[in-house]
Amino acid sequence: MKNCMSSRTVTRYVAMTELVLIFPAVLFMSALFVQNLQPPPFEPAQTARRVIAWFSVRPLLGLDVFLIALPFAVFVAGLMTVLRRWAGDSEFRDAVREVAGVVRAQMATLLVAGATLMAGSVLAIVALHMMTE
Amino acid sequence: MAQSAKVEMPASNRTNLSLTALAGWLLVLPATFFLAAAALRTLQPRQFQPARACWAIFEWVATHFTHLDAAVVFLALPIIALAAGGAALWREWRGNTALRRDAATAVALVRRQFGTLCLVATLLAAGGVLTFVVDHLMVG
Repeated sequence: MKNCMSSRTVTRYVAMTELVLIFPAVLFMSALFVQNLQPPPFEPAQTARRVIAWFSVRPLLGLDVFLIALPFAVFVAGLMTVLRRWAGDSEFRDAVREVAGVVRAQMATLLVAGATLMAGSVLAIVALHMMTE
Repeated sequence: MAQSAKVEMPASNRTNLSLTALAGWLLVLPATFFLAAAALRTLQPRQFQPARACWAIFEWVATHFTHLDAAVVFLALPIIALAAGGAALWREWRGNTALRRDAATAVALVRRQFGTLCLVATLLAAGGVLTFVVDHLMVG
């Protein structure tokens, strides 16, 4: 039990570190998507363009470090941690199986929720687009 | 615990819910498809696939869709899907005790394994970023 708790604490620290390390890359990817939502004078598209410009003028830091080295380190460290947890923590394996059971039992409801969420997202994008036209 | 939902939920309810799910996805499919094409077309230079196909779809929509077509595909159909889905979810939540119990179980499990879930999320994000960067480097 004590081992399991300490393993969970280590996992939380690793997860927090990985979130910090992947943040610049996720910010850049989000900016790539957001910049196309609105024309130049409108926010947040304008800020997204500034973020992309910041990355573009710094190829070493922006591309090599933030978009290649850090995501690669996060990927390798994350994969190793998840595999180690899967092999050594029976509670984690039980939790995954239980969630899989819940998902299977409530599949139709989850599909309805997914379609509803997608419809809400489409309407939000359309509303944003109409507001800036 | 999750298996009990199959027993507690009448077959007709399950069929109705499945049909609502199918209808909801079919209603949002055209808008999702066109918006995805519009978003993906700018991620690569135009001569490379899949950006080229996305540009073709985007230009087809821009030239062939009237205001009425756009209103139907991007407003009316998603509104119907949102309303029907919201109503079905509300009815299910109120009438299905197994659903509420399963939701509580899932929330408890997510809270207990929160660190690992964050780790899996960052793993997927890192995989996505690396895929994009490798693709970007390959096409120059």
